Amino acid sequence: MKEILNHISEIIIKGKWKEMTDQVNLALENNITAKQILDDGLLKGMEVVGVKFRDGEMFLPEVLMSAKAFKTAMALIEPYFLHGEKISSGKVLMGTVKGDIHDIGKNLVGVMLKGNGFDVADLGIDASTEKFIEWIERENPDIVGLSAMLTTTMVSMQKTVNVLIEKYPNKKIIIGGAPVSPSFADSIKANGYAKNAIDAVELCKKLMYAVA
Amino acid sequence: MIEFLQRKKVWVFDGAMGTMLQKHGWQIGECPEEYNLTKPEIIFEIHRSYANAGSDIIQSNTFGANMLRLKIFGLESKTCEINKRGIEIARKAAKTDVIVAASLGPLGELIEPLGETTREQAFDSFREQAKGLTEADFINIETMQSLDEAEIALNAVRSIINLPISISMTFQKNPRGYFTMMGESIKNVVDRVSNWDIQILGSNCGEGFVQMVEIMTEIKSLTNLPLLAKSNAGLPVWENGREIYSEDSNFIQDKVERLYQLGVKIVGGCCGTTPDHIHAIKKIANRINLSE
Repeated sequence: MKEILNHISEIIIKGKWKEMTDQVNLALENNITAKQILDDGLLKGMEVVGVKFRDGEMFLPEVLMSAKAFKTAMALIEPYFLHGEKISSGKVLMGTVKGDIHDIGKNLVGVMLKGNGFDVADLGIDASTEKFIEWIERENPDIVGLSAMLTTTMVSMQKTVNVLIEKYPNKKIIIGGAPVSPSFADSIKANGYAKNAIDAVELCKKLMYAVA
Repeated sequence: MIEFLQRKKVWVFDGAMGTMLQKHGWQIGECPEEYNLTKPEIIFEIHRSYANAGSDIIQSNTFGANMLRLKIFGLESKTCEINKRGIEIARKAAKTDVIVAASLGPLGELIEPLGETTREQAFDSFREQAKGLTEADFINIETMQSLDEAEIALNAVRSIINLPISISMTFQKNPRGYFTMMGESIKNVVDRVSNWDIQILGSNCGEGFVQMVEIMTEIKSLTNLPLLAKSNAGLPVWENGREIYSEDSNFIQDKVERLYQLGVKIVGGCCGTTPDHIHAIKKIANRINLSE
């Protein structure tokens, strides 16, 4: 059993998503539960991916392939979870702010959050404050993440964050993106800043702990 | 060696377009390249300010004017026209002896299998842009993070244009050295482009002039291609409600000197640089060009 789960982790780390279906089916045939596959195979693999990414041993293309492997496996095991067995780490709504059309970094954060058991809702790019509000009302996330790639759109970020912290004092508002810094996050009173996808996961875990 | 490059020992490129456009009232949500059609006088003024500061090469306002990106603004049918006008404005602003480079930046989307964009769509998008760039003096394929994308851009340009081409990559430092976002090391880049039909290799954007010296030192040790460096004025920080780029025209001087000493042929600026920076670079270049 351990061997099969290790192999699943390995497929995640190497991003060999085409091999995932066979291995997950093998696991299910051997009566390994969906929860075990998730915890001891998929999430374990994604954790290694996170560390390798942070240390500059893996890059965006490899991480995206790992994400694809993760997604392939999740689609297969989803029906096998028992009721209440799959415990979410929390729900994160994310989007790129008004005027900004960049989403590669944001998507990477989404991938790593999903790979760490978070539910993620993505409202896309060029999102107005109104759009953020509309999605918050619909999705009821614990955490709202705003992304900006351009220095010019940091102003939009500031405007949206101002409105959101006023309107939703119980939600955690976090920011990230190439031009964004901890001092900027402080100055606009965001609840947190992460400089990369790995830090974003850590930040969200910390914030969820604070919420709970 | 490209004919024009032989005219001077070292060359001065221009500085930022995007951050200068902001100073001229560009608003969030506007397509910067649409200014070529709607507010050409502003683009002209920015080019002219660089030419006046001493740029030997100025670069067209066409960075994001590929078809896929313009589509976001509903302007894809004007791709060729926006690029063509971009070159015309730069040409008009260029003084005698000032070279016009055509800027061609990334698609802003990931190409299959990483993203949804097919290689054909990427090629067509760049090719449509290239149709408007034929009157430039050379094509600068810049701010590239992916060698695959750079190669598609190169092939698309080459399918139409027989001008010198530079490829300029953007590197960030990580614990293991300099890499592009897509994980290309400097050595990888040099190895792969050495088989390509390009005439200049460069690096632009990035973290600042100190890092640019490190990047160019490594590139220079690996290739004999003429080199181009267009660095950011550091990374922006947020102060009192506006962004500040920390590296001013004094800070960059010894780094620029070092770049030229290394053998970098063309030095200019990227995000956050202004005519002040170019003026400082020009003084150093003049000294080198006059000495024998």
